[in-house]
Amino acid sequence: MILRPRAEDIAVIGYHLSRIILGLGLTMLLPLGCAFLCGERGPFLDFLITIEIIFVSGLLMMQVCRAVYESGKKKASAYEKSIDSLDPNWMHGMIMVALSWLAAMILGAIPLWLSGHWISFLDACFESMSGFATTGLSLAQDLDHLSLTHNLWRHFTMFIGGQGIVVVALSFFVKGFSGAFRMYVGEARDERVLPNVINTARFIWGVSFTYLALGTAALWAVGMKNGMGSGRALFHGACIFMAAFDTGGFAPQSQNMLYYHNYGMEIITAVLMVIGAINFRLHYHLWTGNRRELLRNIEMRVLFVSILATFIVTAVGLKTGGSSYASGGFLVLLRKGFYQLLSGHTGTGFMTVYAEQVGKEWSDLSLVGMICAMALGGAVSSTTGGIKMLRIGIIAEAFVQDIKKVIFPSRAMVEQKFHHIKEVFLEDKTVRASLMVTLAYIILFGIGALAGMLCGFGFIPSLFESTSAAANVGLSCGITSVGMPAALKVIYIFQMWAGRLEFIAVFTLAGFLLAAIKGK
Amino acid sequence: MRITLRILTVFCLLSAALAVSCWGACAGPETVSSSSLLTDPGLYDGRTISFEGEVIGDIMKQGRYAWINVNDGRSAIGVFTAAENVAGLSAGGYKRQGDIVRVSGEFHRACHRHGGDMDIHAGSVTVIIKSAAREELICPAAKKMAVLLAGAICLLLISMLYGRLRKKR
Repeated sequence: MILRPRAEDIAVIGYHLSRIILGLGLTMLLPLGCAFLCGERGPFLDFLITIEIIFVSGLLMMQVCRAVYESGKKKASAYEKSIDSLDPNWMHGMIMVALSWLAAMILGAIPLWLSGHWISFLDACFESMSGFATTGLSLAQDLDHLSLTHNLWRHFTMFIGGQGIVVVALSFFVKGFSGAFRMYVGEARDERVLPNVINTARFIWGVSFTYLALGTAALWAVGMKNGMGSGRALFHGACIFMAAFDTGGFAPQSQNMLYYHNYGMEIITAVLMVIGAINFRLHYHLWTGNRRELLRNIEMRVLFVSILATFIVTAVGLKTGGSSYASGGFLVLLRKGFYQLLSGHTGTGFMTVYAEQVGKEWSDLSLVGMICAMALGGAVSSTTGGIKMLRIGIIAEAFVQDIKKVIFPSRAMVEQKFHHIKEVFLEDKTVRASLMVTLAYIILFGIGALAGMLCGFGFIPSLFESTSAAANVGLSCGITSVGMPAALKVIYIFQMWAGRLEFIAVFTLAGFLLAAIKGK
Repeated sequence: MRITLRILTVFCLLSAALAVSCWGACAGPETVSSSSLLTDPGLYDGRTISFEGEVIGDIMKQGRYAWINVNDGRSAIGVFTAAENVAGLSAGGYKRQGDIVRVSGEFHRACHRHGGDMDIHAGSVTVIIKSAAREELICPAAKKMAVLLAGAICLLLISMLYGRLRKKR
């Protein structure tokens, strides 16, 4: 029998959700300050209105949920504590995460929509989810005339979403919150760097801010050498850093990375993309001097092999498929083929080619190589999307173990180990969990591909775009555009959301809704 | 004789008209849109073309050469040219409409000199319309909305404070 959720459950979820929403409102003070400093009056109003809407809705929600909880507390003995000190359970935590991402999408879309550069609120929601989920697919109109404030917000959503919306709330706005780990796991961060989850969140921010300073400085210097003014170069440097390190893929101009025509920019962003694709636990070991871990870790080994293999497939496809790079030298293949591949594999989505070129000039073989790279993704507990290297490594180790079981004598005990921070024995439950998530991703890629085909696009382009959305990559072969059907936009939004949260929180929310409808 | 003269006159006039139209066509290269360049890049690869649009973003001067990006309303294409050709150009952004220019030069589907970029190596850059400031349109209703919402927040905060004080008592 399915039990219908009690009003108190909804109140607890709503109360903590309102705190996260208020935290999100505070992050908008950065673009508001930018608008003030740059003298952009229209964008200033857009963000002021949005912050006010967030505060009104957040405070109202908080009061209503508190009142519902207090009235329910008198009847139910399970809720003895006050709502502030109540420890949310796993279900509460997961639903809070799933809903906070949807709330962030809607609230983050308001200033974009008010700017007039997105023709509908759905398009603005698409952009907002694409930013928070670090995807990078864009439906912006006339991006080259977008204000600095709105452009900063687009990139800042990637910085927030890359670290995790809840991680932001845990780090800065929610103090002493005991249900933190449940929400942390809900955001697809199932590995703690440090024993305390708040300290883990703060370490993640420490790493991010250090790289922010270094990466922005490097991009700033290259931008100025490229002939940009110092102010513009700094702005572009900060935006590009946020999109590269958080494996997002937005860029301030409509041509994406092609705008700069600069290999220095491409080299720095390639390094940042790889850094962003590394597990934060691995970052911790590197920061504490354990550099050997980089060579021994299963994720890094699988990532190296995977990049090499998918690049060979893509390069052969480009060379033999009659693309315009076929007659170019190895450098052309590196700047166009390898850069796009690395961008796809790390889930970034930076492009130095036009989406139309990918759709029309790249052969099916090269697109298949790119699709595989995008689907595989980077490391777990990083800012990338996709199936992830640890899971691929575990599945590969399980295959090796099964082959050994067949080859070795039946009495032999076959133990398989892999190195991930420490030596880990392969267990069936670990393999099962990896296979389940992999299967869920494959189904998600398939749903988007089917939707694309139903909208009249070919199989390979549909699969390419679907994988790009679900694995939070952002590369496009031309399907993503303002003119695509609204249903496809909604499906891509769902894919970005479910892919970023790695399903558990989404499934819990679906179960909760089902219980609310069918429960007794 | 008269008929022959008339025929000759008509023939001469037609020839002159044909020559003028041919000269007109040969005087400048074909003006191509970004849509055509992206849809069928192979057709224009290595050919001298003319491309018109707004200079956007930055004028990136690097020694004797410079990069600009020209947007014709659909897509922007990179233009590589001599630095002297971009002197005095203004690029567009949020507060400014950039110069509308006509660039003429060789189109590359995948320029080997520039790592495979799709670009135009322009011999000339001509300003058609000078840049101008863009007016910031602010909806009066937005100002009213901001004031109303600020009032709502104040009311909410007062009610919360009042509720807390009542609880304490």
